[in-house]
Amino acid sequence: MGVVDDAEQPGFITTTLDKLLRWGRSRSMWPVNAGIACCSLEMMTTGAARYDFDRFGIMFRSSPRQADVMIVPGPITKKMAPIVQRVYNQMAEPRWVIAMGSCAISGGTFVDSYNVLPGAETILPVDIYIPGCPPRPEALLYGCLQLKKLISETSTIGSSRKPMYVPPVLPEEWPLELLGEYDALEAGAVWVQPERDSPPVTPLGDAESAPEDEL
Amino acid sequence: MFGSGLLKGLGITLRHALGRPVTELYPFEHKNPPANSRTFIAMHVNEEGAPACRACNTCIVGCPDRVLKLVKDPDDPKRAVEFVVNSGRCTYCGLCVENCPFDALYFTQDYERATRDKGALIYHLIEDGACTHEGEVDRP
Amino acid sequence: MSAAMWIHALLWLVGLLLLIAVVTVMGVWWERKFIGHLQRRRGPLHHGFHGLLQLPADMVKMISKEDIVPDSADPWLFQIGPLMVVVPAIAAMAALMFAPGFGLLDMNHGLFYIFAFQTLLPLGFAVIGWSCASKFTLIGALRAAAQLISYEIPMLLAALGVVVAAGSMRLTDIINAQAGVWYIFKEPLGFAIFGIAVLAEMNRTPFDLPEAESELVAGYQTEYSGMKFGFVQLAEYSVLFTGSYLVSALFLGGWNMPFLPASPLWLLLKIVACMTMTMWFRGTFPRLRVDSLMSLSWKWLLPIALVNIMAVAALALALPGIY
Repeated sequence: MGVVDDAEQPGFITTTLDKLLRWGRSRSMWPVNAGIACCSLEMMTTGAARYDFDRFGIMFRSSPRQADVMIVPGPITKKMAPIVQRVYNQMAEPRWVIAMGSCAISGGTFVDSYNVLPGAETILPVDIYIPGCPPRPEALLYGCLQLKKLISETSTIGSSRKPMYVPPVLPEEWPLELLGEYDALEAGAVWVQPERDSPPVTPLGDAESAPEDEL
Repeated sequence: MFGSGLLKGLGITLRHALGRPVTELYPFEHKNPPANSRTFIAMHVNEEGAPACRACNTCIVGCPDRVLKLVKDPDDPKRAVEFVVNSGRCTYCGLCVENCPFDALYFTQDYERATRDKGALIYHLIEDGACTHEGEVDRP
Repeated sequence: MSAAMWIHALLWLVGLLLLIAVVTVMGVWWERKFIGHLQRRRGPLHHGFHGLLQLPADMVKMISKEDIVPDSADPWLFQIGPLMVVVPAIAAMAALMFAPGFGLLDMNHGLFYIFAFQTLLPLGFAVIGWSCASKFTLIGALRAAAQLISYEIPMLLAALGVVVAAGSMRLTDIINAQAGVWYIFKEPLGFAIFGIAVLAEMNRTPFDLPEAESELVAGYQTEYSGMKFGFVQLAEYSVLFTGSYLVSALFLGGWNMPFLPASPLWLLLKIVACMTMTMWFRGTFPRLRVDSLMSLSWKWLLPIALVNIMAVAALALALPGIY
């Protein structure tokens, strides 16, 4: 959903439009009103009176069609993964994803569990990672401001459609839905199984024998 | 009386509207989180400027998420060459800070560490035997 | 028609479209700001002077968003749906009079014209809700249709009381008839009914069931992205403006002000005050249930409106000089 210019050098109108789009998009980020787990409480706090998302024009929209940003606030279980993926697919381009908290970044303390994905980037292209468990409201605001910076730095000239993280062979454990042709377009080539963030194997009492390259 | 509750509610909201907003203007005014808040782990430095860590492994044994990594100096078993925290997976439970017999670890009051690069969340507190930063992280 | 009339109409058209744009931009800004303060927040603050550039940024973003047409949607109805809402909402504004002789169409049935076009809105909502082939939009649209049709009747009956008293459907005549006493003092019952019914017609809290965020995701506009959603918002704020205008013109004396010369400024002030009142309600009241919404309209407002119009007619016959 960018400004398309066939010329080699983008002209004056194209660059002005690009600047305008970046200005508008970075100042009007509407997140989906979707909370997954405990971090969403901190997300609500950020929207409430003391920290007030609306100061920056960040306004929660219930419908993913009208939203720009998806804040993933919590661990994505394998049961929840198709739904999260679906909400992301329903959002209109351009769209961004914020992984909020340790669980959304890497699976957090649940990473060894049988039913939790190792981070939101397993199924979504994450733009901003906000560490914390949960992050403070200020940290979330800071993350949103970082996203604002990212949007205003990203050129909109040319197609800025982001690849969908749809695997060519759907994993059986968390069956992802393919919603029509649109999703299947970018399937296959872009699917990269993110490297599992494996924990260092540290047997109790024998810490020195831990392999060094794992973390 | 029918409708008096509605008027009362309108009065309450109007009182709030005329009052002072409680909003903290975050990026323009910083308020430090409370002293007992658990944010990010950092390493103390002793008088000689070396890391206060004595490489005793207590923190690693106690860590429930196994996000810490410690590499000892082969010549000096009481000296850490490398100390790494994976903040992207840490729960900030504080067991490492509590467990440390030398009080080498502490929690910072810093929270602005959102990043575009997941790898940047792996903090090297000690590198080549020296503290790389105390509570300060190079932000992208 | 002569060339001068064409130019006159064209100028007014441009002026009205500008007015709608300004009303939408300033209305949304003021709503977010005012509700923010009602909740002890600050509202839009950092983009522009006190967040004034917030709405232009939103509009730039909405124009550049992807325009999604769901696979299962009826493509043709889905495309014209927002138009079917925007066009009646804007067309109804053609009859608004802002000062004696200052308006696009000073019709002798101006009130009737406005109500006629407002009656078309539920059709647009129903088309939107049906075309998306989604549960939420359909339920929202049916709720909108039911609510708008139910509340139209008390609203029209209450407005009829004013028409009976003023003896005309021309907005100029109605407002000029209030040069002495406003109709809010002559017909307080009619004002209460009209205010509640107009609130429901405008889909505002506590009657915002068609887009109840906690039940239906965003009601009938769930599936709309980008500028189509913007158009629906535009229609909503146009209707809000028209409704506020009607309350100010029919009951609050329009451009009249006691002890002060008549001026369009008073009308504007009253409209802004009415819009602020709806925002105040939105920041205060919870939402009605569907069945209590219906029973409020049919069991209470309609009989009271009938009593009101009969009383007004009787008074107008009995005291021709005063009423």
